[in-house]
Amino acid sequence: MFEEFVPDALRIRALRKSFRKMAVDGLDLTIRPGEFYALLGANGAGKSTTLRMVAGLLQPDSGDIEICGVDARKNAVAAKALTAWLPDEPLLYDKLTPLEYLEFVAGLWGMESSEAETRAEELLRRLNLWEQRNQRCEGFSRGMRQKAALAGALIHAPRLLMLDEPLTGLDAGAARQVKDLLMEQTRAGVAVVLTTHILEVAEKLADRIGIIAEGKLIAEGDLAALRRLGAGAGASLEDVFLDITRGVAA
Amino acid sequence: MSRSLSLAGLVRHDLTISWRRLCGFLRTTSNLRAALVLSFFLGLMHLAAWPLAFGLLDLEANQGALPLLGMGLVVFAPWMISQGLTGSTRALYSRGDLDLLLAAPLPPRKILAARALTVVVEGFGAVGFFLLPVVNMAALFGGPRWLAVYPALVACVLAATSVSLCATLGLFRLLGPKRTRQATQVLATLVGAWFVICAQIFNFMSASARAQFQEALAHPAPGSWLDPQGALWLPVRAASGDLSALALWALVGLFCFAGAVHVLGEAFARGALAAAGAAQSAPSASGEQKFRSGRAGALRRKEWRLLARDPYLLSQILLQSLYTLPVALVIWKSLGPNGSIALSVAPALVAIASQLAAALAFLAASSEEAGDFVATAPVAPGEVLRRKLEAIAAPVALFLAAPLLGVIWADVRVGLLTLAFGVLAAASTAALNFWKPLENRRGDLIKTHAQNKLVGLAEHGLSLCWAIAALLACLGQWTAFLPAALACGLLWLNLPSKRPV
Repeated sequence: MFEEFVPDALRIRALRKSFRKMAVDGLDLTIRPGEFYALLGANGAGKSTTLRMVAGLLQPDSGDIEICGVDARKNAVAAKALTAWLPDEPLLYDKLTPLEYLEFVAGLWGMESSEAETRAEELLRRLNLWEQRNQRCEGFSRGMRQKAALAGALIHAPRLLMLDEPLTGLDAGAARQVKDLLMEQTRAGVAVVLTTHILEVAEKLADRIGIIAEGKLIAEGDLAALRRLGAGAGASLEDVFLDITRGVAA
Repeated sequence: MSRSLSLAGLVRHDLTISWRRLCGFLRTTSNLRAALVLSFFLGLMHLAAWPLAFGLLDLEANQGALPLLGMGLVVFAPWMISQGLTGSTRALYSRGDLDLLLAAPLPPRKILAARALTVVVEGFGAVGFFLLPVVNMAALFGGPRWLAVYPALVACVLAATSVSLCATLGLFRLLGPKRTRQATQVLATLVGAWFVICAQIFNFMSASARAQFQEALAHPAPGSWLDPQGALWLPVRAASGDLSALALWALVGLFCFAGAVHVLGEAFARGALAAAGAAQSAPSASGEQKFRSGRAGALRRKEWRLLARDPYLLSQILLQSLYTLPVALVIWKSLGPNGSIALSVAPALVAIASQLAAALAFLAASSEEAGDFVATAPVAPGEVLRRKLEAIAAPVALFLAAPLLGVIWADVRVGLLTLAFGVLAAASTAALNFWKPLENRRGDLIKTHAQNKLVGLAEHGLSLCWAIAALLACLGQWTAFLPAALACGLLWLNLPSKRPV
């Protein structure tokens, strides 16, 4: 018997994008289904540009992007149907309630109304937003907005979830809820790509960590593998990260 | 107390913000460039005012200065109040640095005085930009007595700002923070519309009524409201150069302003805090909602919800309607006994359709807070635009259905032509607003709803072209083709550039 072929959740090859200077420079990246991948890098390293290209918000200069076996450059709509992108600044409509927002997102992704309604309730309850489901988002705190946007990213059950600094502005309780929810997603086979400056989060959650500098992936692996690259056993991810990126800066 | 906390310091701070806003309006960050652009336009205004000033001096020679200045006051005073209402509302609701000022150890009266003085300067600038070039040219060719308009105008703006502050805070007390913003916008629109109606008032009057009014104005009964010696005429006498009247009017303006600031200072601080609280406690949707399937429906429903909740919607609709309807009356009168009401209403309806569609499209474009998010959805960009246009078409059709049916009932041919040109006009101005969205920061745009001025000009051009084309087509003239072709040309010039994503 042959084992069923499962395509990679994300496969990036030789991806390039330059603005005035090179932002992403020949990036290769493979993320498997159900994997929690943390993409780390200093400000301006090319993390967000990479995610924006995968989300279809930026046109790469060259290179290939494949999402669950779908060529995202040739078949953008089919690729978008499999992904969700959550930027660092939550994109919500101030004048809509969380329920109205989720109905809109579900409609965009072509979900059946009954399924969408059930999933919306499940997500809002899970994220402690059910009580506020009929309040307009304009009065929400940063953390509540972040959670409502996360519910929007998850409602259509994406196969690849990309999150840019998802824990910024969340209190400890909310951060725990979000982390638990993300881990649950990976157990269900969803690939999660996360960028964060909170290195403890990456250290605790990520199966693999990629470090990007000047648009290139300069190190990749689990924490043990990264430690072997220089900082030594027992070193924290912060030490490892600073050690590796210092080498590039020098 | 340090100098930065003085009233002068606060006013300087507010005026700096106001100047930067003006620079943003002129699409420049350079003070020098903004000053040069302003000087250029002021020069143009003076050139345009040159022949006007001679007309004014002729009228003065025939009728005297007082009736002329009186009519000027009747026309400009509502505009000043409208400016004051808009400024007062912004002072109360715009958060920006107001939170910082309210948190600082400053008396609320001082904050209000600074904000109100800025409103005065902005109001004087807005009205003065159009009025004072005419005054300058009249002074140049008719004598320096015309320069008395300057201080009289300052006092007028002070008084108008005081009235506006009282009205805004009165509405605040009456309606609460959530409804006051909308109410003042509507009020400002209505008052502003009076400016347009005033400008046309003589066109609306019958010949006999006009003659009667002119007679009453030339020979007013003593003690009547047209008597130039009455209290109502004090600002007019001040503007005419009567020094004692000018001194008294200046005192009245200053007294009103100082009194309003003194009495309303605390109420302003309370109001500003309540306005901030109102933003925090956003309204809730009523009842449980059922989800509905379908991508097209989801896109349209989202637009309708955002439009219905846009605080500028009501004022935009009122503005477009009120500013256009007087034109219908003017056309009706100018067509004479041969003109039908249907024929005169047709171009006005076409203009309203185009302006309303443009306003709604602008609101829809500016309320698109999650454009990047929608771009990540598995939907073609063309479909998003199509659904937005559909969402806008529905309220425009709803708003114009009754008058259109009326026109069709009165004259089927004119009605059908109006419908056709209305659809073309609405589609073209709506598309223009989506093709040329503002490049400001989205947050700023949502707060200010300030439209790109070039797009605004193109929009008015389209509106005018389609309205003229509709009128000519209704009159059965082949020349209707010309303004229609001009509108198509304008649209072609504004076609969007293709983006790679």
